[in-house]
Amino acid sequence: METSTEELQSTNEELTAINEELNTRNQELKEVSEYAQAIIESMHESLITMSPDLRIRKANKYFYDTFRVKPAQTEGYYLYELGNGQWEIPELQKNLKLLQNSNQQFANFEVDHDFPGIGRRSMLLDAQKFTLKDRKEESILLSIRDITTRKQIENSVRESEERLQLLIQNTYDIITILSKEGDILYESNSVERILGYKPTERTGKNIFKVPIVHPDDIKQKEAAFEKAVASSSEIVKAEFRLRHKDGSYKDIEAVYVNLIHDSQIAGIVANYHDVADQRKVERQREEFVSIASHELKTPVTSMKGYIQILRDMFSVADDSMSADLMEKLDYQVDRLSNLIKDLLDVTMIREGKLEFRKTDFDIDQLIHEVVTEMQLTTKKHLIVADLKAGKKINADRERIGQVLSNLISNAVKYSPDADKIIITSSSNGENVAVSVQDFGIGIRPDMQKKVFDRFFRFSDPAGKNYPGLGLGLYIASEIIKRHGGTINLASEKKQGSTFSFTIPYKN
Amino acid sequence: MCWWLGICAKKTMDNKILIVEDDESIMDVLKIILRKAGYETTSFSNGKAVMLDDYEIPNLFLLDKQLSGIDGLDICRHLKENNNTKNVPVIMISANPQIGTLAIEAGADDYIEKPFTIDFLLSTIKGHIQRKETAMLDA
Repeated sequence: METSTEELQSTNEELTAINEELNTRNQELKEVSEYAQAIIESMHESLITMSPDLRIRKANKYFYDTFRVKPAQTEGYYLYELGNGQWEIPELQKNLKLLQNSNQQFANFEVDHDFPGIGRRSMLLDAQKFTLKDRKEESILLSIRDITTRKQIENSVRESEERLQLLIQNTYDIITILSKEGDILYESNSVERILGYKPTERTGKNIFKVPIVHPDDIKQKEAAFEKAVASSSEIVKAEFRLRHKDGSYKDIEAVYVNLIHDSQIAGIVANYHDVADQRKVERQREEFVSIASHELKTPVTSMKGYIQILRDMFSVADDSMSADLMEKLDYQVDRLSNLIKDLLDVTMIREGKLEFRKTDFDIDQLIHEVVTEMQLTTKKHLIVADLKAGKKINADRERIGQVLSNLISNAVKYSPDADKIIITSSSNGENVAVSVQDFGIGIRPDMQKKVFDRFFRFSDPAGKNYPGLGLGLYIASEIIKRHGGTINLASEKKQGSTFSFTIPYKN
Repeated sequence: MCWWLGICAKKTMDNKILIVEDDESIMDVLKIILRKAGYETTSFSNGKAVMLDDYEIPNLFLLDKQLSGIDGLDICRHLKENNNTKNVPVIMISANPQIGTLAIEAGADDYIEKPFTIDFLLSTIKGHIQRKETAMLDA
């Protein structure tokens, strides 16, 4: 009997130990289960577990929140019975059947469906079968990831891109994206209309290796492109001719912007504008001015002729008063004639037709001649010449004389209250330098830059416009520049202005 | 003897100028100026007669470049190609400053830009006639 009690006690102890272990295990399992449950409930993905015949056992919180249903409406029902058959999606049914019959799991199956009461949703579905050892049957686990927002953003971005592409494809100008080596990364459709090439024919080619730019314009285009590559925010402009597929050349105005550091573009953006029409209109205008100038010269010529004849007749008849009036009339006709000459000069400059007849002559001698002539036009100013150049230059004597006359007549015109004008000349190893100084009111700094522009006219603070067409200095600067020289202005308010120019011996 | 001949030549031979100019008023001005200076003038408003060699050969040709019909430069070339007239000085007149190069290329002896002064016109004409005179007398 005693042996039995001991045995019993020992068994009891064993059982207690086992019980405790079981309790611990149970507790652990409970904790793991709770933990798992917590994960499932806090997921942002809908999860459903179903019996193999697709009856819903459980669904997580996210499912109920997303599809706005309650457990009572869900658990125990067939998947396809839910919410008026909203899951009766043919493709889904097919895939689930495959899963049921041949264990074929699927992942990332996309469903786009209009869910009643919820709206259109895009979802990715994953489904698999699994078996819990204690249950005799399997379970199907279906996870549903809502990608509606992501899809909307993607669509919106794609639509935006398509719209942008459409805009670029249909611009009037050619839009090109170039690498910094000059490879064509992209070219818009207008290249076909303007230059005859399909975008595919040019994309991938290098603008320097397969050039279509006019041989005379190559340097210009290269310089502009290099400038664009070197700068980061500057807009670089250039004009050159590009060869159409049919062999003819078209005038193009180009604008380059460096967007290499912009990750979305990563290149130089070039905008090519067909300016053929503009050029045509400009040429017509220049031609018109040229014709008009010619026509205007004819009556001016006979006017001058008659006036001089009368002047001489009055002189011979000792009528000095009438002769004098004729002289004044002649001077006015000369003014008219000079304005017309300036107009003609300007069109010739613009058309590139300005030609020089170069000879060797002494610059100081020319200055002396012009000064003598110009001194006759002003009694108020004394023109003082300090000439030390002592050199001959090879240039168009008449044109350089024109520059001098223009500078001196300006000096007279714009210093009405002064009494002298100083001309100097000097030379160094390479150039001859001449300056014309007046003692007028000076030129404002912001106007100094524009002084050599075509049509620029001075206006004084009172708003008075000085006579003239604003062409003289433009023509003078073109003449000097085309002789390889430089022309400059230095001016101080209330103290006057000094115009100076240099001409190289060899030009 | 040569000197005497020279004077006679002045009176009868060396003062004929043939003008081709299509603008009436310029033609009028030229005629007045030249006649007052002692020259005899023959005038045409276009180059037809000259091209057809239907005129009396003068001591100097004064041609406007811009003519309706035949261009003044073509007339100049024609004159210089013709044995009878190739030694007669041709002076071209034009409103176009570029006329200089074109005129010389066409064989003209000189050119005058419009508008011109009487003095410049007369001295240029005189210079060329005298030069040809001297050349002829020396021959």
